[in-house]
Amino acid sequence: MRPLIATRRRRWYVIAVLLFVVVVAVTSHRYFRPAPKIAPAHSHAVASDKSLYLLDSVWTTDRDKTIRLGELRGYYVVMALIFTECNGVCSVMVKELQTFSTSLPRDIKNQTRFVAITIDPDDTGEALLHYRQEMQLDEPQWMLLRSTPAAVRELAAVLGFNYAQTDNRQFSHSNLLTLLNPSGEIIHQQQGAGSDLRELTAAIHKE
Amino acid sequence: MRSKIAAAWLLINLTCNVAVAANAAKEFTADNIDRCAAGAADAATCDSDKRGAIHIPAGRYFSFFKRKDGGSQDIPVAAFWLDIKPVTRADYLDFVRRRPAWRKSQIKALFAENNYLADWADDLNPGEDTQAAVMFVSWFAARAYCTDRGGRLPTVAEWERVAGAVDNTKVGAPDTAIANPQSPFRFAMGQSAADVRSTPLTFGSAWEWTVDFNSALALGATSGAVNNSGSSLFCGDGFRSNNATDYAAFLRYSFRSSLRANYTLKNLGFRCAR
Repeated sequence: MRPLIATRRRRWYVIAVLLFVVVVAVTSHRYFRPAPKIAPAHSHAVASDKSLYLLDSVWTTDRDKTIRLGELRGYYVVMALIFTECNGVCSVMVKELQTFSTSLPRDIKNQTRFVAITIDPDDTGEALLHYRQEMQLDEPQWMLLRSTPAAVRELAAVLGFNYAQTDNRQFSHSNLLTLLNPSGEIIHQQQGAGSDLRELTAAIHKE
Repeated sequence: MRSKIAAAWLLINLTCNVAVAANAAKEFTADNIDRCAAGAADAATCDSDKRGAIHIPAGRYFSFFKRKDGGSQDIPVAAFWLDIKPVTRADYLDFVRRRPAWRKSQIKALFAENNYLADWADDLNPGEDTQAAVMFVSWFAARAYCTDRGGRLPTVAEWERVAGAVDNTKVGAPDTAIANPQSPFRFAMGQSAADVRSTPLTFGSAWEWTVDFNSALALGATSGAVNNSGSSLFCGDGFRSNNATDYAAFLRYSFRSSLRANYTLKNLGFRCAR
């Protein structure tokens, strides 16, 4: 029986493949950002009577994935209510949050989710996806959600966020940011746009 | 065999009769809507849907807030049904009997504050006056009650259209009734609008939850953001009144904007719509 490849050539072949693997591994480590680690569920997450995760509303992401808020359990969650046609404070707030999120140390960043929720029932998944690109919310820590008017009204009511539609696709609304702990309880709220976002990190550290 | 056929015939006949009777009752109700609205029918007739709700014809709601462009907001409100009076303790007792999660001892803090049903002796004892309006209920509880009954909470627009004490047959300046200076709160708790004034609708014993109570950006709203030019930092306009003399409406809007969904207050009850 004749071997397919001569022994000598086979040896070279194995060495070449190994070399290739090593080179790819090294370059990818150097030139591509490693995928962010998904932090394990935070040890502080406990069942709580005050948890927002008691709400059973169903939400849809900008990538048309269906989720419940309870899936955020285990993370610190910075929650902001927005609408994509907004030209005022909500854009400023999201921009400020985006800058803030990129400046966070990796350990905090990995345990934190930034959740932007639209109050506009006419915001489609596509609109949210476009918003993600426009606002450069490309890091996986950012989640963009939409739901039914009743679910949004309920969540807003829990957060103490007031809003009303004033014109076609325009809203009057509160300027508010909310921080949830890993159990889903509100641990901190502050003014949305134009405030010192380091208060958020301070609140996380205080937990 | 014969007896079986007879039984089947009897059953069909009975079912049909019941269906016909149900239809007749519905028609009866529909027929009386106008009479109720015109005040020609008594409370018992208007009450004929068994839930104590009456039909509110389509109308207009003259919003307390101005439009963004400064114009006044005159919002059409579709016809709907509204309870003639707030939900009583007896009604609510029936609800918590069937839905243990909403009992005083079972309620989750997210859904109601500590003093939920504070004036009840215990889970299934609402105290003496069972016909009094139920108080110390949160928005969640009110909403769950109405959903359980196949209804919902009224919207601010619906509530104001019925109880905002403005003449909604007129377009333009509202005919605001004069508040009694001795009891501004009682007045603010609701006065029937002109076209429903003759119905058995009653208001004035409590503040009432609305499904979109958190739509008002009145004084006391969460945002106090002020930019360098001194104007409020809202997306859109915050608060400009249509009629600054409508003190009752001002009280209601301020009150609503200060609420949270889990608040349970003395004097804050609800009624259902559908």
